[in-house]
Amino acid sequence: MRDRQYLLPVFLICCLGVLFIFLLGRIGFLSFFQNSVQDFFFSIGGNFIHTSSQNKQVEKLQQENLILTEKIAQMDSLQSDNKALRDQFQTTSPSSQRLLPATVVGMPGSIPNVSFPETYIINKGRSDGVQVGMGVVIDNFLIGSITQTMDHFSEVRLVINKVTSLSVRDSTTNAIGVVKGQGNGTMLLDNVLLSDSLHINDFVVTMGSQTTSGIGLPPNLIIGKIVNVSKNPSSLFQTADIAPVVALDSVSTVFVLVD
Amino acid sequence: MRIFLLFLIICFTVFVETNLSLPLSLCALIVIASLQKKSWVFALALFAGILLDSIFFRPLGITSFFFLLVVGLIFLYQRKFETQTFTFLFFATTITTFFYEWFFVQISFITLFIIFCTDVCSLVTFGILQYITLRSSNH
Repeated sequence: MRDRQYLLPVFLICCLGVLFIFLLGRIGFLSFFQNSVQDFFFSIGGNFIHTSSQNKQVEKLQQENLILTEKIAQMDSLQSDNKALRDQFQTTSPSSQRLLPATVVGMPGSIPNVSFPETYIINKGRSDGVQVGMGVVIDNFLIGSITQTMDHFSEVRLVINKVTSLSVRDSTTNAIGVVKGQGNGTMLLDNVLLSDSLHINDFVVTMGSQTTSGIGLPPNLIIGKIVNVSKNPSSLFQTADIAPVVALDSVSTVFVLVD
Repeated sequence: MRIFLLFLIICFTVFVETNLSLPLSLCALIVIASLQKKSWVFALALFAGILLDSIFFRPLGITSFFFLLVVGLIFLYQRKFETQTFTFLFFATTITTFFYEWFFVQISFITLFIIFCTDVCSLVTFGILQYITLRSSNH
């Protein structure tokens, strides 16, 4: 009975404590505590998220791999032609990006085998040179970009996230558009002129959004492939559904583009 | 000792939430608040919220504030009505999980599944605790 009298004062004290902690967090005073908590929980639980879906995706990935291998062969041929032309016109090649490998230790907001993740938590942070805005890739496929960093962990916003919006082009027809994440494992290519061509199974690549300091997404990173085209003559633009090439719900290792 | 055990349980629910993305910490707090109208439940809510904010890159304190509000509302409700019932737990868990998903995660096609899972967890936990309490009182 006596304890019930103290409920309101304790509640108000806790609210003030929350406000105080919030202010301390904003000025970065509690970053040591946050880093310690992340180190503790992610070091224990980082391996649990990769147990359920990998086996089911192996067969699908093998099939996809065959198709992509053929595409890579075609791209190799195009690259050698491009190099020859570039050499002839003496243009400088893009500077090489340093790739920092990182392990995915968390997929907040997703349930294994039920929903797709929209963000990753990776085990690389500020102390490893990771900065907000850096791209995250697997091979030449764009996974997402860094949105928040702590000392040892970072948050990656995936390309399928509802907030994601990227300028892209069709690798085959060079049609330009904007890819927007739909939040259910797919993306929508929008703002493509009706006069441009989009074909099913075309790959969509980034147009590049790097700043003068080199942070951002370089061009020609593969985002996904077109699975459906919607072209209505009465609309201003045509749209297309984009499916990611990488199985984003079973990724364990990614690479951060640092430079 | 009991309070220390509950803090460990909160740590465990936060750990599970890190991997499964089910709001089990919220579920545990609702069950504890329904069974124990004590001031230290606010400290549990504060502690759980701080841990979740640190792990999920949210501004520190925002989840704690949500949990404090939930616990405070349950205590206010307890003044007039009975809270140690399955019906109350079901509605409290459903409504608070929906708002938690809305504010901190996202509303999607799996929200119903998440609400269903947390409802099951809270009702089963409450049932087990009620059974243990009944058996110990009979003895």
